[in-house]
Amino acid sequence: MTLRELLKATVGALLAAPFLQLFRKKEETGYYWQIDPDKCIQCGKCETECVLPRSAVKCVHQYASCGYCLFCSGYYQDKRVEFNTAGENLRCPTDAIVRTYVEDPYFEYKIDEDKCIGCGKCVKGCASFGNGSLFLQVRRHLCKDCNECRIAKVCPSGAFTRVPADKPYIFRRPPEVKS
Amino acid sequence: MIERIFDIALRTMFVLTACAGIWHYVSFVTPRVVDYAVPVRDGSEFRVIKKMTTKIGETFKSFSAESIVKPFDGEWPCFRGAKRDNLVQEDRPLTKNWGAEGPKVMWRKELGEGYSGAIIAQGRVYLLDYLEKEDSDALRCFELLTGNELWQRSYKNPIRRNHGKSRTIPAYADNVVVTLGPAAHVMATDATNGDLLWSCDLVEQYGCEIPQWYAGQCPLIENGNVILGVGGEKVLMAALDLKTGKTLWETPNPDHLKMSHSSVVSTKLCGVEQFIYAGIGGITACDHDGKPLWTCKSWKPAVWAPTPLKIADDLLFLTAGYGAGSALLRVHLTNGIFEATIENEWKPTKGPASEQQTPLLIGKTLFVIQPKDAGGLHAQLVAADVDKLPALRATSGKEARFGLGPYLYADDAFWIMDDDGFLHVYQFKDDTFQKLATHKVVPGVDAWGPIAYAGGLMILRDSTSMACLDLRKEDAK
Repeated sequence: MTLRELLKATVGALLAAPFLQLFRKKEETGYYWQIDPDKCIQCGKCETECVLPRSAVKCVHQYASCGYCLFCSGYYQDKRVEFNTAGENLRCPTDAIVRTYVEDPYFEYKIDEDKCIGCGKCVKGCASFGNGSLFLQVRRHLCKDCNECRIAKVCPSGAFTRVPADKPYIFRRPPEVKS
Repeated sequence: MIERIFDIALRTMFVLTACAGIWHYVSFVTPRVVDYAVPVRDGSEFRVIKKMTTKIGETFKSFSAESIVKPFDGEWPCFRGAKRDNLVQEDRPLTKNWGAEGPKVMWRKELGEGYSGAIIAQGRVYLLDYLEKEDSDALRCFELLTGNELWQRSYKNPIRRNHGKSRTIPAYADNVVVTLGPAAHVMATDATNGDLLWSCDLVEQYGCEIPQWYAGQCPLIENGNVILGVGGEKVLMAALDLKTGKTLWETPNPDHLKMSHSSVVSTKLCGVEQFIYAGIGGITACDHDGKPLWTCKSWKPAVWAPTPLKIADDLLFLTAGYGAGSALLRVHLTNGIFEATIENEWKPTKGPASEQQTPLLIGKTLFVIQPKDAGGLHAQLVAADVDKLPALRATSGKEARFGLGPYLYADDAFWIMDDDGFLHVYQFKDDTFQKLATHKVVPGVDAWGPIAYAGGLMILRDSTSMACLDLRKEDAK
C-alpha cells in the first residue's frame, strides 16, 4: 500500500465514522409501565388482562433478598404433602419455578419465563411468609408498550405506575445484612 | 406389455406414496413434550448434611476478675418467664412517658445474627449467642445492671447463615443454666462461674433431625429435670437430670414425630400433670414419669413454633404459621384412658393465629398478633374470648400493625416489639387497644427474640444487638 492509498483509506474511514452513530444503542427516553411490588396485591389480573396471549407480566426473583430455604413458601403450596418437587406439593400451576439444590441447607429458585403466566400465586406465598424476593414485573422484551395498558386500567391496588425508560424495573429493598 | 405393467405399478406407487404423505401431513400432530413433576428434580438426592464432632462447652473465657455481681431482685429464668406465660406478675409501675429520647437504655451489646432471647437470674443475663468470627455457639453471661460481660462458655459449631443462626432461650434453675443450640447441642453450666456440668448432642444420641432454619426449642426445667422434645428415631421426649445430665426417662416415638421449633409445655389437663410436645407430625403428651398419655396426629403443621396454650381444663389452643392457622384440641379422660381430638380449626383470616410467638392468655381472653397471611388483620394485635373462639373480640386496627416480634404483658399493658425494633406500649381497655407509647429502642431489624423482664428492666434484641431498658420510675429505684 502506498502512502497515498493509506491516506485515502484514513480519510474515507474518518468520513464514514459519523455513520457508525446510526448503529449505536440510543439512550432510552420516555416512560414504561411497571408494577410497584410494594403495592401489588397479587389479584391475578396481570395474568388475564394483558393484550398478549400470554401476559408480559412475569414473576421475577431478586436473589439478594432470597433466603434460599428448603421450605420456600413461594414454591410450596399450603397443603403440601412433602417437601419435594412432586407436582401436588407445588404452588405454581405451570411448574415455572425451577428449584436446584446448592449446598446444605440452601436451594436456589429460578423462574422459567416461558412457563410463567404471571398469576402471582408464588408472589403471594413468598410475601405471606418469606422475604418477598419473588414479585411481578412487566418484562420489557415482551411488553407491547400499549399507551393505555389494559392491566393498569383494572389494577385494583394502583400498583401499575410509569417509570423512566432508563430504569424500567422496580426492585425491592434487600434485607440488611451485617457485614 | 411388461413395460406397461411396470409403468402402471410405478404410477400407482407414486400416487399411494403421495396419498400417504398427504395423510401423514394432515394427521400428524407434534408430540407434546411433558415434563413430569416427579418428587426429585432439584438435585436434593445429592444433599449432604455435614456432621462434625463437637466438643460441647470446650472453650471458656472469663472477662472479669471481679466476680462480685450486684444482687438484683427479680428473675426471668426461662422462655416466657417463671410461669411460662409471658405475664409479669409484679405490681411495679413502669414508665410509659418517654419523651423524644425514648426509654432509658442502660446498656447495649453487639450480638451474632439471630433471634435468641435472654434470661435473667442472680443479677445476671444469660444468652446463647453465635460468635460469628469463631463459628461458635456461646453462652454469654453479663452483669444485669452494668452490661459487663462476665464469661463465655462456647463450642465450635460452624453453621451457615439460614435466617440468622441463634434461636433459643436458656433455662435456669438451682444455679444451673441449660442451653439448646441451633444444631441441638445441649449444654449445662454452672450459672455463677460458667463451669461445664454436662452436655448432650441430641442428633448423636437420639438420631433426631434438625428442623428447618435450625432448632428453636427452648429447654424446660421442672423439678430438677430437663425436659426436651427430642423427636428422634426411637425417642420422642426425654428427661435428663439437671445436675448430671443422666437420662431419667424417655418416651417412645412410634409415630415418628420430628423435632419442631415448639417447646415442651408443663401443664395439668383433666387433673393430670403432663408434659406436652408439639412435634412435626402431631402433638403428644406424657406424664411426669415419661409414660405416654395421648397423641393427636390430625393437625400437623409443616412448621410449628408457638407452644400449645392451655385455655381450659381439657382444652389446648394450637397455632402455627405458614398457612396452618389454629385449632382447638380437646383432651378426654375416660376410665384412665386419654384421648385427644381436634374440635375446631380455622385459617388465620378467620380467627386468632400466630406464626412464631406464643399467644398470651389473660383471664379468659386470648391475645395474639396475627401472621402475615391473615388478610386485612395481618400483623394486628387481636383479642378473643376463649369460650367463643374463633370469633374475635377486638383488634388493634389497621393503623397498629406489628409483625413477628415478641410481646409480653406488664403493668396492665402490652409491650410489643415490631420487626423494625420499635417498642410499642398498648393498653386494652373497654375492648379497645390504646397506644400509650412507642419508640425505636434497638437499631436493627428482625427484632424477633423474646423479651426478658425483671424488676423494671427489660432485655430486648434485634437481629444483631441487645439492649437493656430501665423502665423503673425514679421513685421506685
